[in-house]
Amino acid sequence: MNRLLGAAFAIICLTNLGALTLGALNRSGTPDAEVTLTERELRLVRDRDSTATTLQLMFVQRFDAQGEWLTCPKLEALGVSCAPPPAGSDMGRWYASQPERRAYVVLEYDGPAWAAYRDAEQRRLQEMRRIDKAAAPNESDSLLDTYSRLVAIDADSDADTLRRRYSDTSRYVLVDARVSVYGRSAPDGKGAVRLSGTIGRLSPSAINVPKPYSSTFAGMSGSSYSLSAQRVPRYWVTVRYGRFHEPWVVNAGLSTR
Amino acid sequence: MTANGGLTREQAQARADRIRAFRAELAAAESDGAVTLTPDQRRSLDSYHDAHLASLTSRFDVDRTETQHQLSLGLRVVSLLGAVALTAAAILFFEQIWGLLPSAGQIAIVWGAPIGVLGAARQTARRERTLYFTALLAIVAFGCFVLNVFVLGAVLNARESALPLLLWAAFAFALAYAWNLRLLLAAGALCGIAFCAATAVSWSRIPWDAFFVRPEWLLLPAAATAAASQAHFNANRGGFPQTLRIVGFGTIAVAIVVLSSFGEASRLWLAPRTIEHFYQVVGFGYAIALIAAGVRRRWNESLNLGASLFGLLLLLRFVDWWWDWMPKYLFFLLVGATALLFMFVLRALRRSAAERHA
Repeated sequence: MNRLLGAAFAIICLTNLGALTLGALNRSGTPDAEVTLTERELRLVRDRDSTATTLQLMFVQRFDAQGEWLTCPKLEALGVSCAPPPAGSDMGRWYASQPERRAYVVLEYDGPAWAAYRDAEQRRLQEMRRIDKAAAPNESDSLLDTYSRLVAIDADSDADTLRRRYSDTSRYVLVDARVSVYGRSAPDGKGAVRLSGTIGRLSPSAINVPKPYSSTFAGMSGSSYSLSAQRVPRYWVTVRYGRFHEPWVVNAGLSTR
Repeated sequence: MTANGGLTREQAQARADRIRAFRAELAAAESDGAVTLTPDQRRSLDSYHDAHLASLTSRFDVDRTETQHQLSLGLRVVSLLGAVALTAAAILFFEQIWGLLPSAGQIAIVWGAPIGVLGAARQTARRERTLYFTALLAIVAFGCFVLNVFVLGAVLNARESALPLLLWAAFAFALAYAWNLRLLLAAGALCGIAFCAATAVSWSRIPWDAFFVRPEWLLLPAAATAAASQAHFNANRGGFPQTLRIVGFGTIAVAIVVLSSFGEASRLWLAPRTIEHFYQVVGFGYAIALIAAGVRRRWNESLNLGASLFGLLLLLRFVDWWWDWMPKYLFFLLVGATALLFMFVLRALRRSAAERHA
């Protein structure tokens, strides 16, 4: 019995020592990326039962014809099959049941991809307003000012390949993500189903803010998406990504605007 | 719950129960005039049983009366509820103070919590023979270790991985075998099965938790768990073989039920409907095999699991075939008629078993 209890104590200690060692290794050496983001990209999450300060990483993925890049050739390269379902099976159920694959995704911060996305969204809103003004009120334009400027622009199963392709570490962040395929019908519901890739959960998707940086967020309510929400970001946060693509907060402050 | 001199607490309790039953039956036989013991025989028998009961009580604190037995059952239930409540209290309390502490303080607390509770469990185990409080503290220690791993991952913003499942399995097994705790054995077995399945799916760059949507990965580790129930190191531990069979066979049953209804979840390159039909046949065969093994080897848990699985699969098929077009009263009438049919079959089997015994 004593040997088994000794093993239990050892498991606890080795787990903690191992995790701290890996954490230190991640943060040692030259960081993989360092970016200063705002509330638009890092949403403050508040939980009534917790005093923890957590920021949710938000990003944009384009699905429109001009901006979509996660299509079948790329998906196949990531290991996601676009093969049609066996005869007689339900297409929606078939693609929905295909497991996600892990891949590294490049998020570009406030670059050409964001500018192109914003222009496309503005054009889309104008077109909607032209057809039905009620469907896209004028406030919709300013809602764009709350969107995350982190835009997913590429993916690969190898992080080094991506980093060579996107070497600016202050603009391009490599994150571990889940990629999957799903069938998208044409807007009129007719025609062939178009297959799209979608980027699911990031790992990690939430970033813990430790002391002393958490004091920046003292008294703040959680970030809101509503039309009446505060449009000006309330804070900025500098995040560094380490060799294992795990982030940590290195600075934070209140926005001056 | 503790092995002592080659006897486990469960075996000691079984012996005490047999003595109690023997005394009650002897009293009934005597009152009916079927047997009469001489005063010497009665004295000798009573002193033999009293000495045994005294020895079992001093070593294992066994229940000697029906009331004691019922209170012990209550203690077990309350111990489990208490463990769950204390674990929830520890987690929620930590959430409340999390933001007030620096990272080093957060890690120190969650690192120290399972060590402290485990130390308390060890001290308690030295003072009690029934281990009710030890079991409670061991479950709380497990809960604190789960919290420990979660907090480490959150503080370090670590990427998700299946490794915590292995750590939890190892920790739960260590405590289960130290104090013969079945609940922690089941927790360890479930974490171990999940870890094996998660590791297998990870090899294809599929996220570790995808084994939920690919349940075939669970079949092999679950079968290994059920096979481990036959290992010699489990044979003399009261309730361990049964617990491992419930977890192993039960996990296989869940996987088969899912695959028999959602063929898309299979790795087999066949049409989903074909896969569903295949697993429906496999499911009925598996249920019958569980019932047969339960009868032949006297594994009550396998027998009950097999019968439940058979009934569930049958009900699912009835829903598939009839629910959409049949009047609901007729549907339930057919389900009831099928239950009656099974009662007749089982009664016939019972009679033939009795005739063979005679």
